[in-house]
Amino acid sequence: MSMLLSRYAEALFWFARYIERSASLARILNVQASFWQDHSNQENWASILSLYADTDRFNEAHGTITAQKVAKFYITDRENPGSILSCLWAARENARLLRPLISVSMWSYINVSYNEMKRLSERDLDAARLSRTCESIARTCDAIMGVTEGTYYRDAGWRFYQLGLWIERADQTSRLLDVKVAQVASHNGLDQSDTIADAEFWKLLLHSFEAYHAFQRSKSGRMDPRKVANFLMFNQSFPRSLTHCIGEIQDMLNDLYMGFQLRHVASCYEQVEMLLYELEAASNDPHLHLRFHGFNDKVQNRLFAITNSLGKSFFGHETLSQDTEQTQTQSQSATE
Amino acid sequence: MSNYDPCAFFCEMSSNMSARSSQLEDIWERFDQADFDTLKMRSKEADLELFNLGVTFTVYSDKNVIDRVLPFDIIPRVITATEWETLDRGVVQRVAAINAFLHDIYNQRHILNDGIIPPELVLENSNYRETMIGFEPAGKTYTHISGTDIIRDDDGKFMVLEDNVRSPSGVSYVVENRHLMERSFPDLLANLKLRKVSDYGTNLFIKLCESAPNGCADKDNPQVVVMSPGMFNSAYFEHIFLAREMGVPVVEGQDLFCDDDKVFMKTIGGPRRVDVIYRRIDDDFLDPDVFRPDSTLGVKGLVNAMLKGNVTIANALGTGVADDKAVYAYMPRIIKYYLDEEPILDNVKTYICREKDALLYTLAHMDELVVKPVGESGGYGITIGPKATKEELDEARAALLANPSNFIAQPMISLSVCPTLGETGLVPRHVDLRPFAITGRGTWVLPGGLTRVALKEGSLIVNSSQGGGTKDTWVLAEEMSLKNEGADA
Repeated sequence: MSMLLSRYAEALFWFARYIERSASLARILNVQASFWQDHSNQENWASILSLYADTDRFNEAHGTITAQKVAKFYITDRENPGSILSCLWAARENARLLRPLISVSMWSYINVSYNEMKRLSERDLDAARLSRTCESIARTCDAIMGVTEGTYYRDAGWRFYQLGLWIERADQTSRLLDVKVAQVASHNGLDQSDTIADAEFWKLLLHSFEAYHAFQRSKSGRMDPRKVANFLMFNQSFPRSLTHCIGEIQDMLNDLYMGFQLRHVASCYEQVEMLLYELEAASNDPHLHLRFHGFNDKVQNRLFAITNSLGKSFFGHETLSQDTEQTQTQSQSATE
Repeated sequence: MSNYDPCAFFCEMSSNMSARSSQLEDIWERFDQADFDTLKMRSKEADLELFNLGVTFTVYSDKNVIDRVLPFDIIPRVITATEWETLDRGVVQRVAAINAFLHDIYNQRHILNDGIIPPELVLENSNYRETMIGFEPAGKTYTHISGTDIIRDDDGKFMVLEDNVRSPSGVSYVVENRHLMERSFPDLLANLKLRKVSDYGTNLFIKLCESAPNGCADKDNPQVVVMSPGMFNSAYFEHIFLAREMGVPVVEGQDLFCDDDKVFMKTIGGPRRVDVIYRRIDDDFLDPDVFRPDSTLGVKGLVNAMLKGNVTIANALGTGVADDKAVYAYMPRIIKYYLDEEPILDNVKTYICREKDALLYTLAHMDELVVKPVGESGGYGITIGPKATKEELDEARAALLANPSNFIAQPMISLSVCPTLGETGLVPRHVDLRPFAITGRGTWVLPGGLTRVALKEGSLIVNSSQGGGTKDTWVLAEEMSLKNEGADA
């Protein structure tokens, strides 16, 4: 078998990121949708905009924040490159490029899924249906990953797919925690006694990660904010925690180095080791909540640096050409 | 036999049925006696499946990617074992002559010096590539992949309408159509002995490996790639298909570079040598150093690497001379000249107006003939005698007399028909056939080929851009050899 083309490695990497991003977005919106009627509604929808640093862009295009408008912005709006439909479109275009490598069933499933997504209408996003719609999107993304897992040949390309998946997942976890913790901090500043709302809030957060049951199993008892945050960041066994994701990234780089004799993983590997070290230190820091935002900034910068060095070492870039906010497919044409 | 009536045309299914093959009747009954509404419904399901599988050609507009399915008609076009034997030999012969012709015109030019073909037709042809002069491609093969467009007249005689020896497309549909039929209509295919089409990729890979250049480091194991203009090309699906069937990468120009007159691809493990490039890019775009300097699809230095014998480009550059309309007219003479054989497959009768007798005949029969200019402006300037007004005929006559060398004339062609799923029943629709031949050491022809069908009533235009579709092409295995070919189904 011939050595994997750089362009394919990169397409696999981004394919995974776009699917994972869509799944994560669908889960977050789903949790939000379940509490559509809540009085703190608007603020929560606003927090989703800040999660993806979209507040200004949204205000410019759509003005006041309503549930319906935000849901549309993040699900079906093709003008928003960060919407689920845009992400799935980008994933599909990467998959199209990857068709020589992927199974027919994988391509076919992605193709069918995207075409179904395209048929979503305003009706599917109203208060009564939004949650179900998000649920079904998340399941669709899970199924795409399932078909991939079940059919993709375990070549070096598989490792790049996995790298994309774990980097995106770590990034989503870090962002969501960052925004949510900031939200709580501002809340508690206003009303220190609102502990019930607090417990509800943390429960919700766990649901956004589909982590509620896993958390209960590992830490039975009171919904302690610090426990929740620690679980989502540092639990070794929870598949969305930072520690777990970064561990997987390290494993993949090891595979590329040992199994595929790709010696130039070194610079990337260094970044990962540093990040693991920083996570370890943070997990032992009793005052982490005081520097939470700074810590998450650092995590996100590290993830960016890891992506960057993959670009240099394997994808043939001088610098990272794909801004994560841009829809990304490789082609000779700059259109779209 | 229901209400199906092929009129005066030769029908690929129902004409001389019992004389052609005992299996034909059986096949016809399967479709003729199936419940029409059920066939119609299953046909719709098959279309949806093609779409979902992405067996599509792609149209890009500013913001949208539109995948279109080439319309597929479920009634197969059947070729008997005897008919195929002739077609197969005829195509092999034609390809052999074309390769010999190309080698000659880029080397000794015997055929020009012997006055068989006017030199200016070849040397001034826009597809003649001077860079190929004196170059010896591996195995003297120029056209590794050829598609020969064949039609059948009212008497059922096969004739070649056109050669495609640059970058013929459509083979992916041949294989996918069969897969689709096998999945969608297993009952209608049950117990039939058909020649298989699924090994096209394997054979293509073998032939391309046989064509590895002298400078190939490991001749037993050459690195073959398919070179595509990219996923924005409407035939991208076919490029993927070919690569997947061969188990080789699809590369774009941006994946390749040349160093020290060798070609490399950029991989995660660094540069890797490339030995054989099956390119689906026109000559003009291959190498900005030699051809269009604005090409972003090509690779700088590629032509030089080829000339140094370090890479095989398939098909070779400059093959376009051989499938030119003007040269087509000479093909029967080309076959005779190089192979000393009579053509197994005739051309459509063609009058070369630069020759006196042909000119006189054409002038006397303007109202019966189709007069075509041989220049580049495909389609432009064609006069269809039977449909032209007196003024148009006079104009054409004047143009012809002013420059006879610029014209050929052919009788109105007639295409055979094949039963096709209509709105309320089976209807006759015109078809052609494009068998695919691949050449390395020797030539192999994929049994059958692409059957294109004009879905509009009365239309002779089978092109997909103008309402054409495709059919599965069934070549019946010889009854005698059924036992030997037990795996063929």
